[in-house]
Amino acid sequence: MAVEPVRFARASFFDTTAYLLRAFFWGGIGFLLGSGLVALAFGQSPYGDLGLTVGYLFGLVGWILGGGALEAWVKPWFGLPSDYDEGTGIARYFRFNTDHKVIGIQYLWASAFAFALAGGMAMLMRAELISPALDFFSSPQTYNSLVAVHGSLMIFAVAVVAIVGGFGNYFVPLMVGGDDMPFPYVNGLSWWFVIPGVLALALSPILGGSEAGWTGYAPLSIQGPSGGVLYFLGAYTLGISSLLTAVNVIGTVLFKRAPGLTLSRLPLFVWGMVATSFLNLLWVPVIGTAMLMGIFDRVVPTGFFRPEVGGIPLVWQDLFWLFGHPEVYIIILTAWAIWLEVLPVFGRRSLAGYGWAVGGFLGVAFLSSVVWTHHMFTTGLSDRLIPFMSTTELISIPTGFVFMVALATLWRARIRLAAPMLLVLMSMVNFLMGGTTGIFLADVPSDLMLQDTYFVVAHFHYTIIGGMVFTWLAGLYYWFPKFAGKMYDESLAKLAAWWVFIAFNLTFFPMHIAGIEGMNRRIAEYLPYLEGINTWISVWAFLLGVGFFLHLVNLVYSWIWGEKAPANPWGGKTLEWQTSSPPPHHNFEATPVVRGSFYRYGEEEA
Amino acid sequence: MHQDVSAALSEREIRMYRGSFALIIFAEAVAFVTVFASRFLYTGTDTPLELGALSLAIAVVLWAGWFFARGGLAALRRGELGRSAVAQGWGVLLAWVAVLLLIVDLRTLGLPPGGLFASHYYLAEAMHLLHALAGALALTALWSKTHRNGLAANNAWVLEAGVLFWGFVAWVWIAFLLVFFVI
Repeated sequence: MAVEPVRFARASFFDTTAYLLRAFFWGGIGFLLGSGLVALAFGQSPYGDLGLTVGYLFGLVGWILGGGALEAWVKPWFGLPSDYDEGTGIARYFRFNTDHKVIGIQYLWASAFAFALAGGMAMLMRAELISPALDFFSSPQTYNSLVAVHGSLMIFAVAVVAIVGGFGNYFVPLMVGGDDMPFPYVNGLSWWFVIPGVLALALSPILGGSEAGWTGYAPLSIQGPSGGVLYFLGAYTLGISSLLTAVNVIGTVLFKRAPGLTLSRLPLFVWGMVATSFLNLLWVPVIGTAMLMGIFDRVVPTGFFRPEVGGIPLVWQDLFWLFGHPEVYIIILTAWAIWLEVLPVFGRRSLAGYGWAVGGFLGVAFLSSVVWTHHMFTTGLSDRLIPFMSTTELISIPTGFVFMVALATLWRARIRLAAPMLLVLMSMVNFLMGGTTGIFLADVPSDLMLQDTYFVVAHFHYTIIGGMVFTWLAGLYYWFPKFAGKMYDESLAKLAAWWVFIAFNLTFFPMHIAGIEGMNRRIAEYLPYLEGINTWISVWAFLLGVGFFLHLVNLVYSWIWGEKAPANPWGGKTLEWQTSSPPPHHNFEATPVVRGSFYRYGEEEA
Repeated sequence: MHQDVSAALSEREIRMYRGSFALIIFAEAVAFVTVFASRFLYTGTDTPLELGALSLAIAVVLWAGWFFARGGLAALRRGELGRSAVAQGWGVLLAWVAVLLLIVDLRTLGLPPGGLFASHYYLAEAMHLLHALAGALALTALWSKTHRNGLAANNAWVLEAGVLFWGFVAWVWIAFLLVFFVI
């Protein structure tokens, strides 16, 4: 049974989004109920810390039930009649669904929405920074509040979610030859945590916001307006989503593999997802607990991060970065894995060093858990400087394995420079730059000088946008024929790829120079001698935004009007290419049997 | 679209469910370990509290609830649905009693919440209360399903999951007592 293709024009807007609209409505009712109860029971403001927290939890329940979980899950469980239909066409992406492929698309559109939202905020920030004076925002606090939301959304709702939630959900079961994930209902539920998390973060400025940045440093984050509590609630909710996805991904790989698919034959994207999922499983509960501590400090109030009662604000930094640095690799490991999927296919060259690549992934995953203090070199923890400088620099060794495998695969390859390949090559160049500048920040002497300057901003944008977002785009084009069943416009894709590459480098490379010259992070006003370089950066940032919009136009246009895609347009050998585009409901007409490596080209066939 | 839980599960499916469920429990355990480790890092091993009757009563009720829930699972596996429902019913009752006792303990602790020991105590017990609440809800839903003949001997996994989760809740309380009163 083939999956019904997406129909965009026939269904009305309200038919398509009926459950989503109901989810918003019930979520709103739940919020008002919860915060109202707090006002009645405790006499506190419904928009205070406690009112927001209880209202958010009630709203979350209303949102999930309104999205279709009531009919799909709760009613049948209690034996009540339910005629819930998971929907067809585009409608299924806006209601509770248990098909991993639909959930993957849900993650993709939600992270694209968050990316557009946070990107729009970046445009506002760059508009402020065109001139040295404060002339766009009402106060530096408002500017900083927006910086915090931009960073939080980009990290928690885009970087962590887009590849892992989007491609991970869609392609891991397909690539291992499985029919679905172990807990489809839990998987369906996991996506419904994303939008509330995004909204909580995005709406926090309305209630005063948080100036503590995406890292939520205490004690700043446990003080101030009640919008600050939305940071903790939003990030916590997004963490739950990641955790549930991690459980399903590992379960799928361990228990849903096709006959013959041994661990030594697993596709590299799947290895990347496994390494990432274990990092999520280990470290998301840690940051989740830290978020709870932050919420408790604001609501109860406890004293974890309050120095006046003996609390230690620095512990927040430890707990945050215990998760935060592995998170960088949660973001990038899957991007590297996509590089190594794309390179052999478009190079028509066997993958060089499969074992080295897997070793690199696992080595990075392990080392990423013992480097967190390099984010805290300026906090005065002098006994940790040398050990953490060393472990941080050690991580370049397994990273080198991955680059070595990529370059060796490219050696004498017959490269077909289609958009996915082009974007992967661009991503490799960008990430190399991000990795190289990372060495300056891993070295204590240079880090002490560069800390909190635009050099750091440039560095992490090179790794996250340059490394992950470029690869996200590469993955979107690579797998677009599979999940959309249509071909994208190659010319527009290449034009947009070059546009984004040029604009990205002309935006973020000068930030290194600005940082070295003394431009600090998180400031709305700066000294006049930095005006020229800031104006340059702002202009190219706006053009970068246009470039991303071109990609969006291409993907949406192609999904509606693109030519029908064949099952395997690139000649790929992994299992997702061995089924129809888009795949049938249970992925394969018959259980596939794996008899060899997926990465041999011009030699023995898989 | 709802899964038919009365359909027989294969050994492979049961392994898959158990293995995947263990991952969820692992993540939950990491969260508790973080609070417990933080308690020692912040306050050393000093404790201003003495182990009281209420804390011990909670332990007894949690474990008794687990005992009955396991009995209900064993009966279901033997195909004795009636006995299973009765045993589960006792498990559900005790689960809700445990939730109630946990709330009473939180309300009557008497430590100002700003202190570091109390901060950890409140957080750990609140987290445990949330887990107990989730477990009690799950056991109640499973009991209700058993009553409606919704579970079968050859598909006891969902009940097993509920029982395993309640077991986790019971064990966490033992760890809680060790961390806050004994060590």
